[in-house]
Amino acid sequence: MISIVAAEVMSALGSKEEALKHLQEGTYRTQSRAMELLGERLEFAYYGMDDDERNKSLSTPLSYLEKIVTQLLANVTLDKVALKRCGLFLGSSSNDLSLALPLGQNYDGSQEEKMVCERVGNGYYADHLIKHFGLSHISLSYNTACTSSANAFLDAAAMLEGGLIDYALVVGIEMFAPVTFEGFGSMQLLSPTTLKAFDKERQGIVLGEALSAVMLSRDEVLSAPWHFLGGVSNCETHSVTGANPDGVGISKVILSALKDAGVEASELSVIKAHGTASALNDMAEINGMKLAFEKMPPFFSLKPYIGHTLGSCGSSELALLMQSVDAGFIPKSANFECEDEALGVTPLQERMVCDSGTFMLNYFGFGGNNTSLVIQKDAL
Amino acid sequence: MIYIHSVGLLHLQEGEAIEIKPLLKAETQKVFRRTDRFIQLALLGASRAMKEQTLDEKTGLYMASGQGNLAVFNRLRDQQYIDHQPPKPVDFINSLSNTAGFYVAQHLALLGKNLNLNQQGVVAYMTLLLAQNNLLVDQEKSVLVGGVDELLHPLAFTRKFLGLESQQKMGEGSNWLLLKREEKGALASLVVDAERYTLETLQQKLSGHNSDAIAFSPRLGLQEREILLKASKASRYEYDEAFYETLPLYVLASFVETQQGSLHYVEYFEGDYYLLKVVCLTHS
Repeated sequence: MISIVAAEVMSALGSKEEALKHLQEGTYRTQSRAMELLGERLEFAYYGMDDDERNKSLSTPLSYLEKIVTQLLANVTLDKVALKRCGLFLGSSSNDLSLALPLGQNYDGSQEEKMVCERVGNGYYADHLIKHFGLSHISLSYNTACTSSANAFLDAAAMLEGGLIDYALVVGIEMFAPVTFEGFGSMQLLSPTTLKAFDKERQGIVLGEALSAVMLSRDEVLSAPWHFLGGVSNCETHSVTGANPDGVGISKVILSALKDAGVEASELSVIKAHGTASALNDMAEINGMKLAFEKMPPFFSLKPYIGHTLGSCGSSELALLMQSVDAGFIPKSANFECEDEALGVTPLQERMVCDSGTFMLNYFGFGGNNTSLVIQKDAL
Repeated sequence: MIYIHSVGLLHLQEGEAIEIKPLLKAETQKVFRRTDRFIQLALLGASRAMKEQTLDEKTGLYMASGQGNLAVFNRLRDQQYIDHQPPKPVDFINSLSNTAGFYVAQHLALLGKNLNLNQQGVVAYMTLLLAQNNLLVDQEKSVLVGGVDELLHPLAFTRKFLGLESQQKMGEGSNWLLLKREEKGALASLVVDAERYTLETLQQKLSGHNSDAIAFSPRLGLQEREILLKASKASRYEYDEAFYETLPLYVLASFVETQQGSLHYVEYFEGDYYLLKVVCLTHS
């Protein structure tokens, strides 16, 4: 069985202590970011990791990546030999950022010479972490939009099962990228104020940035109270921008994941929904769960706390869920106020006491990518 | 052991003026709206791999690329820095690198896992290693592995960020392999060696493991090639070394399509060596 040994996350919620306090109290903090759209200056809420002005250099994401992995490794003591048996699986919807930045900076051709000795591109972040921490050569970077780090997690588990590695480091990274922010803006998907998942008064998505690191192993190598029971990733080809609102694709991935995990729907303690607060995603997700479950398990969204962190949400929301349960609770779905009759169900509106159980985590993204994971924490 | 059941090749050298869109339409009898050249390359290569195959809808689609859809990044860059406009929605959607995989899945009616994978230096090798693992642990019954890279101009700039010599011939391609654990009906077997080698350890490995032919990464120097050629006692498989990062898929696919016997392919990046082996199967 695959053990989930440790998980760390850096997000707009601040330090681990601050994050748990926010999650317990149903609070969060956002910033405001502006863009020019069709000649108009528009402001949107954004979940930034801090208020410092960060330059857009290549070294900024690298220093954050080093920090999150260092934080994780402080909780999992692996010697050099063990680190050499640790594969790296990194998910981000903007892996390309490492190359997009120099391309962007070089739009007038003036900086070409600076690039002579610096190889960048997709895989650049993973390569840096491998060299910095002395990890195994086995690594892949995933760009499957909002399911990136969830898919990285699935393959990390498969590689462990295959015995190619003894440990797997799953990393999710999503940092502010103007192209992404403006791209969502141009598609009119952003909310100016709040992210109200499954709420009748939803106004759209609020983007956020987060980094997370999760360490997996096999029980016989390193045991832990948290386990990965199973999961599935599917593609549905209804639309390039997301799942079919009829929910059929989503119900299929949910049922397949339960089967893969060997878990009955009735055994689920709670579902961490994708919960983006876009009208079509909320509709697709609820319809999918209605098709999959005779009796709807309790569900909630973590995006009102950290925003939609895109490629990082797979591992970041998993880490936040684990930390909450370790602290004895499941957070309520913050910002939920008004039932949407078209959905007919409501997310968790109060914090739920919970220190163990079986949990489903759902992620749906652009490209028709649907991923569902089932994890478990042993009772104390 | 895993098996190659079908291959699809599209390999172009720099300067080859081939229009992909009309070729795609001619070969598939379909028009793919809102796609750009990178996506069309992916569609054309994948279609060629599927000409005589019926795919299980659960077949995994693992698409690798060195740098992804860079042309769209250039368009977005121009929109941002020169035109001072937000991204056009179609460009923004196409900039998400798994969009190409979406269109391939839609075209081939695939509903299984759909991955867009990158890696620094040996992306084709690592994608094949993942596919082999996922087939062997029974997570997948079949996987369509593709490598898609589009030539980015100016070539001098591209060579520099890829760390290539200034005289390196450049290319682009979309090459695909349908992999299964099942041998029946296969064209060849494939072994993706999970070890990372040094020159010395690879010499030892090759001297004890024969193949009929051997091919080398364009990144590998002439001296190292000679050492490994001598150790392997195999004949050299010559192929067009116009470089792109998923070129190993072209080498394997072209060998399976045109040759007989076995091939070792030596992948190389920054002092590390990786080994792939195909053995063509003869069917009565």
